Amino acid sequence: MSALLELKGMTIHFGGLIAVDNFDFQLEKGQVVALIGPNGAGKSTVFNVISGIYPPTAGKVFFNGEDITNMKPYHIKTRGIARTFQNIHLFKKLSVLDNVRIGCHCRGRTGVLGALTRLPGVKAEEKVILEKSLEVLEIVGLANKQEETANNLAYGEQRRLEIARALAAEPLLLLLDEPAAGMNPNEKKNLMEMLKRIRAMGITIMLVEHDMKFVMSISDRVDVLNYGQKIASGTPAEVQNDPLVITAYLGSQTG
Amino acid sequence: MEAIISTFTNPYYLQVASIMGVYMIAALGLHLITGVTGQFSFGHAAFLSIGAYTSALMSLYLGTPFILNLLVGGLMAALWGVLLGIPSFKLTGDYLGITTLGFGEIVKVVFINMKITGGAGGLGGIPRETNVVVVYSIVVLAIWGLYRLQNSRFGRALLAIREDEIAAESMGINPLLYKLKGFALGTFLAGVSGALYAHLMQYLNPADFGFSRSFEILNFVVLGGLGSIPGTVLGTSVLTLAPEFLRFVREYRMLIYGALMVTMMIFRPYGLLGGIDFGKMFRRYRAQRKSMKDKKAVQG
Ligand SMILES: Nc1ncnc2c1ncn2[C@@H]1O[C@H](COP(=O)(O)OP(=O)(O)OP(=O)(O)O)[C@@H](O)[C@H]1O
Ligand SMILES: [Mg+2]
Repeated sequence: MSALLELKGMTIHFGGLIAVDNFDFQLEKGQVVALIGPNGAGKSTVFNVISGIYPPTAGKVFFNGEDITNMKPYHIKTRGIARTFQNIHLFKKLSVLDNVRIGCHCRGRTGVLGALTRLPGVKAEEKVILEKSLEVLEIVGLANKQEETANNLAYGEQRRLEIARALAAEPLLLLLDEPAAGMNPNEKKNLMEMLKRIRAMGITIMLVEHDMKFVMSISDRVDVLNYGQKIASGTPAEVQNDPLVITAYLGSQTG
Repeated sequence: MEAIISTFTNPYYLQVASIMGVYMIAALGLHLITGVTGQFSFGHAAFLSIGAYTSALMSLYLGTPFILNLLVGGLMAALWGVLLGIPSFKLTGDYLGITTLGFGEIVKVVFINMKITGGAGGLGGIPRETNVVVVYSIVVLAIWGLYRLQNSRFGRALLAIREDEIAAESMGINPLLYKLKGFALGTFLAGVSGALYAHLMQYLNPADFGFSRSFEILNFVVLGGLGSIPGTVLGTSVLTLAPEFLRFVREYRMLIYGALMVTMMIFRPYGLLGGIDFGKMFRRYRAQRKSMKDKKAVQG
């Protein structure tokens, strides 16, 4: 079986800085793979290239066998890749429900004329969007806050709303950039359960996270980046015992 | 009773009410561009003038029906909106503010130098077709249309761009396309407003559509509340009526507008009614009533 996502020699320069250097990466359907590494290692940059926000300096991105390198974010989204942001990017002044409805954007097609006429087809589409939105809000446990303004949510809730918004499009691949950041242990436990449920729905997950316990207990495979280069790849147990990783990352945290 | 009727038939009041409605339509257009989509335009009056001159020349030289002239006036403004919007939105960053500012001045100069528009002397003899009924029918239609737009997939995409363009793009929204559509609709309303203006005043002068007019309309939208339809209606009403009835407001108009803009930006950046969502308040109230009823039902 071919990989769902494949990065070949991905390289990104910012001026003189090499943020990601010749990075190869593969992700099979149904897997949960984590990308870890110290601050500034280039993890978020990898996400930004996959989702089309930055074009890579060199290298290719394949999704479902299709070359999506240099595609615009709004085209990549329609291919089935949804993401969350490390530094929360919600539609702050809109309601929780509207945030998720916007996440459904590529599942609808109503334009100006449809909006004005509200023909039966348009109403039916709105109904599907509403149902889908309520369903994903239920999954992340925010169904009772749908009328709340996104900005008024607690930090952990905002992170969950980001996940709901990404799920609303029924993606094949979900990119989560530090979903547990700023959460308390209890919230993290709930998040873990949530990700297991999402995985059971058949959604493939690529995860960037600093919380090692969290990463180790949920991932099938862990890749480690350091200064933009991949220094290790393997099961959580293998990576945890890799001396290179210990010096680069785990060592610097415990020591 | 008689006093009330004579108030409603007093030609001066009717004229003021008509003007107010005409500006409301222009302001509703700018509301869509700035309040909903978050794109700043400083040349809205230029689009009014395009609609005004287009429709007036049609009335004068072609004798086509008023309703058609209104429509073509709006479409012509929207066409120029698209032509200006494409290069402005293609550049990353807020370039629309700058390009609309320049566009406003260019349009003014062009109308001053064209023969057919009467140049700096203005264009007179336009038939009086606009009346208070026509104006407010269009105001109602515009509000109804905008309300539907804002509560649709299309309108949510515009709001998403205003709130966070990167996130919007990651949700599958093409920002260039949606900004352009929002701008086209907004400039269309400006064009219709200008066409109504032409057939109300019966005389056009390029000087009436300069930067100060654009700034005035921006004030209407900002005072009432960026992003709020009731706010736009309120802001336009207050700011068009005040100079009519308060002499000192008339004399120091630009000064007051400037001060008002600064004050609003500091103390109430979302305007008098901004941030107040009547629909949401209503839904909350309904949800509360329902939960109270449910509780009663459980107890009973
Ligand atoms: N748009 C940009 N312009 C210039 N430099 C950038 C840009 N984005 C990221 N960088 C740089 O690229 C490097 C990698 O950044 P990145 O955000 O990918 O790290 P990260 O692994 O996600 O770190 P963290 O764990 O802190 O989130 C950093 O040195 C960062 O300063
Ligand atoms: Mg990061």
